[in-house]
Amino acid sequence: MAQLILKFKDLVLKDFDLAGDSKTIGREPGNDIVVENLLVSGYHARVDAAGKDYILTDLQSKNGTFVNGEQVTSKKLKNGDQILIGKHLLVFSLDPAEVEEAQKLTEETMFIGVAQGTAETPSQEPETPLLARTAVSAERPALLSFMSGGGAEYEITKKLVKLGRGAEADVQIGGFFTPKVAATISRRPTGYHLTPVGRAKIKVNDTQVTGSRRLREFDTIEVGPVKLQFYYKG
Amino acid sequence: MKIHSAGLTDIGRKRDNNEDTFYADDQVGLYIVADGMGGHRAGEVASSTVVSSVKDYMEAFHTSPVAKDAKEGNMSPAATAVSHSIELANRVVFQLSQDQGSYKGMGSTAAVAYMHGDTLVTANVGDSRIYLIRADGIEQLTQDHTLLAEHMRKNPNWDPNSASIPMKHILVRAVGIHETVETDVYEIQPLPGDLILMCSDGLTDMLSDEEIHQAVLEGGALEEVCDRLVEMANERGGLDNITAVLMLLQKEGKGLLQKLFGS
Repeated sequence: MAQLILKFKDLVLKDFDLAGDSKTIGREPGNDIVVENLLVSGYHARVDAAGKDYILTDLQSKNGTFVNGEQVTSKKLKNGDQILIGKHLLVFSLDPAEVEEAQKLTEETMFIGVAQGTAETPSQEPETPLLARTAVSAERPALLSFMSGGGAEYEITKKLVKLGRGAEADVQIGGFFTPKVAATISRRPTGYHLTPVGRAKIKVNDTQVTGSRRLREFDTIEVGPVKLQFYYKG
Repeated sequence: MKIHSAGLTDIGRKRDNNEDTFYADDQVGLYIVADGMGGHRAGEVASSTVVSSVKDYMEAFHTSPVAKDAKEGNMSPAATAVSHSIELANRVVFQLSQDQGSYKGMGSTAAVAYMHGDTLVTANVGDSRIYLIRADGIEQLTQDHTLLAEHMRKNPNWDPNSASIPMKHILVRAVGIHETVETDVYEIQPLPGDLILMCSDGLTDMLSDEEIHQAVLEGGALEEVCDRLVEMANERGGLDNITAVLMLLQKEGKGLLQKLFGS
């Protein structure tokens, strides 16, 4: 069944089944889909069933109706079309069986369109695509705290943190036998990864690391005379 | 660390043209995969422009690492340079698309890997991927900038099969679409023996990470492994252009083992 999914930023507010009917969209309570926002006109747009298809029509709204970033007066909807009304997004969605029919079209890679700052465009940040600007990074900020033999705390902000005795090291580790760079911690989508450099002997939770190891919160890292604990910030 | 690499791009079974472009240079330690989009020939123009811009910038950096790529915030000079090279590519593709009607709206993904000393810099925009492959696992070193991936990151418990929205193919970031672009950059300390795979979505849409891992571990010459991956993706339907670049990282210098068996 065809649906319109009402979203604000990345929040899904409500799903509306179209079920072959017509639906009006607007700010007034008389609409089938009520969007309470001052950028939305009283009766802003409507979606009508036409055979197997659905047609979106702008009801001469003040701020316009946009599909995938382009202003439209009337448009046949495709699966995944993003209808922007004010700051709300309605995603037109078909169920999998219906999608298969249209699959050929959707296999094409496409870029999510964005209104490019025309005068009528209500969207205020035309530089970035609507959904990209709410993107959340998988990387949580983390800290190394000295349990013995060093300073207090080191916040991992760099992509690659070097631990060792040398001047190039970000986390200074004393000790005569400590290499200039004894280990690195790399911050990446899957988390924080500790890798000893060369033959440096590094222990995590009292076990020597061979190769590389993904850090878990509260792991203790032993480098030369220093013990550090890894944990997430906040 | 020295690198041996092989790369292959294939039109696949359903497309009329190949919009993927790749580049591999073991001397410089630079590797690029770009997957273009846009009507007519614009996709190819976009991806080859990304490759040539990144290559020009990085070759210049490699010859003389200069002050404009000094450390930027949390990144090393090499990582800063890679980031700048993609910004340059973005400006060039964007300008082309503004200047020529037939190029309007064209764009490309970019996946770039650059080996600098003992550090591997990886960067991406879009859904071309970079994987780190070891005997015990495969790890994606990049994040896809697709609607699906963004949604999954925000809703980790959400079942992608429950959606009828084809979010997998909708990019939320691409090179050349806007005046500026945000690039994800990572720095990694690889180990000798590590394999790095860079590929377009024509490969990863057809094969799971586990299948890719198994196919790589079957071994053989790097060229054979690339052939195998592309063939598998084609057997699954080859819906899109397929590109695979495989790199093997090895210890530099003349260890005894390498003297005896080294390549």
